[in-house]
Amino acid sequence: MKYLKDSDPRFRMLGWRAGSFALLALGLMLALVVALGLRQGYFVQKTRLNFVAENGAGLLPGMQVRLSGFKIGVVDTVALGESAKVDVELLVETRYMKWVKADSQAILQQDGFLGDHFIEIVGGSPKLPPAQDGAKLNFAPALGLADIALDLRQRIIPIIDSTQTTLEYINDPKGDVRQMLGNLKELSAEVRQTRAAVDALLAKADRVADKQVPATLEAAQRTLERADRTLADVQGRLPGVFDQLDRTMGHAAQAASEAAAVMGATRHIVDEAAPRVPGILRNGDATLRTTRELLDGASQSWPLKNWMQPPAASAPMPDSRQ
Amino acid sequence: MFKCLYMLLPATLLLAACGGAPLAPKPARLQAAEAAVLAANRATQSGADADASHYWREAWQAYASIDDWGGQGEARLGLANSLVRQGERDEAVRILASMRGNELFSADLRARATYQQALLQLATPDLAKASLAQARALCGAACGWVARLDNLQARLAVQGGDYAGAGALLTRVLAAPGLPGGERAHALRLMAEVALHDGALADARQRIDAAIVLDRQLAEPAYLVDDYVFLRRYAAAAGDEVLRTEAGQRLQSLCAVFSSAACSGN
Repeated sequence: MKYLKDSDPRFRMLGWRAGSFALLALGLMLALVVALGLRQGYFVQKTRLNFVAENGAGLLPGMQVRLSGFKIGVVDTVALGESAKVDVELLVETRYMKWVKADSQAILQQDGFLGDHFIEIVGGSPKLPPAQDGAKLNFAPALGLADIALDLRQRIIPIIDSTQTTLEYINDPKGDVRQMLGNLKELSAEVRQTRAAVDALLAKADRVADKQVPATLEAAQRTLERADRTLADVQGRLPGVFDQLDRTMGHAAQAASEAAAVMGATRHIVDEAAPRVPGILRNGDATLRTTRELLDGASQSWPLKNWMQPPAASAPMPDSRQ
Repeated sequence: MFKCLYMLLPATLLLAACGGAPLAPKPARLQAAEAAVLAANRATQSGADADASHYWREAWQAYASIDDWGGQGEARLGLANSLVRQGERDEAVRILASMRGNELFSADLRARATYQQALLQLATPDLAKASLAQARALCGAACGWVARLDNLQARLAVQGGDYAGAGALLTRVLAAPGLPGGERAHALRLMAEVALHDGALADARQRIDAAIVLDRQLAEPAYLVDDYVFLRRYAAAAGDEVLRTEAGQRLQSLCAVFSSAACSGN
């Protein structure tokens, strides 16, 4: 039963009107989606590239791929591969592929300290043809300060261990070095004794009478024989001492070469990191300044200004009681 | 249809008002100077005096680089204040003295510099009185912070034994409306001293109790130490051994965690 009569002319063809309105709205929405999609590059031809990363930290699907600071694509997938490494696939707009070469590198970068991560494509030999669809790029994770510190630590600790071992070896009372020094000391004492005996004998020779000459000569003969035995003993021991000395010098040379290698590596790391340090500091300074300004601004806005006591814009006046 | 329009129009106006045009950006050096002043005041509020000194110097340089003597003066006064808190009184005196004779600073800034210098000259009352008189002259009749000058003058009067003069000044201070808490507490503390000298023990007790309440709210250990030193003296004069012991205990507890000249005498 119909309770209301559609006599009002405004209700005529209401269904058509509502339908056309809905269609118009749908059409506008679709146009908007298409426009946004075009703007985002969804309908642009893309080339698929990939690389393998050791670690998936900072890598996310959807993150930007940039070339010379401009967005040229996005990360499509990030997946854990068979060898527990991370397979990353990139979609790069084909029109930019002329600058992406087979030997280009993908570097994980970050906007400032707090900004988003992105992949920067760098390098590439100009003479090489553009990378093909499915080409594999080399990946270089960007070293942060923490990574540099960790790397330095890993390289320096073996040096310290090696130096400590060498020092312990040198200081060991039963070790070659200490024994060799002890032997040398003993030998030198014996030689001094012999020399003292010879000196005494010669001094005595001046005073001896003719009748004492044979006895003196006999004593001199004995002393010389003893000196001869001592020298023979020294001669016998010297090769051993030299061997020990040689081994010790070998250990020392090994430790020194290890230290030199590690210092070289350290210098290489520092050389790599040094050019980035001013930039990092500058970025950090700018970030801190911006953060401070943001906080200042926020603290003066509702509702934070009701919760925080705003700092004065002039110098505080000291109390008369100070 | 029209109802919708009626609702839409105010909403649009509201959004337009809230959105508005962005503020014209200030020059970079001015922004840096103002940011340094804010940071310095924040550091002062949190008791980080070394940081405050650093920021005041930054503000000083920034304002000097844009020939802004008003900002520069504020920065110098703030720096002197921070330096005093750090115990670098000579440097503070040097900075304040350089402002006193420089007419590029406004009379108010010079008055404040002279007042701060008078605070540092308490050990030499004649110099302090001269500075105070100059500050009063520079600040003028409509001086917005005359209570501080009166309190300081009363303090010098008590120091010099002029209790009647001090009492008159302090009565005027305590009658003033909108007095900052620190100045009211100081006036009450000095008034208690005057009352004790005059033998008005009940009045002295009332004043010092009121001062202690305010100083607890201000949470300034130096002021509390000063209050309890007086309270102990008052208790001795009144023969109240219980109060004397209590004041001594509170003083001991404060001095265990806060070092001041008043503590060293106990």
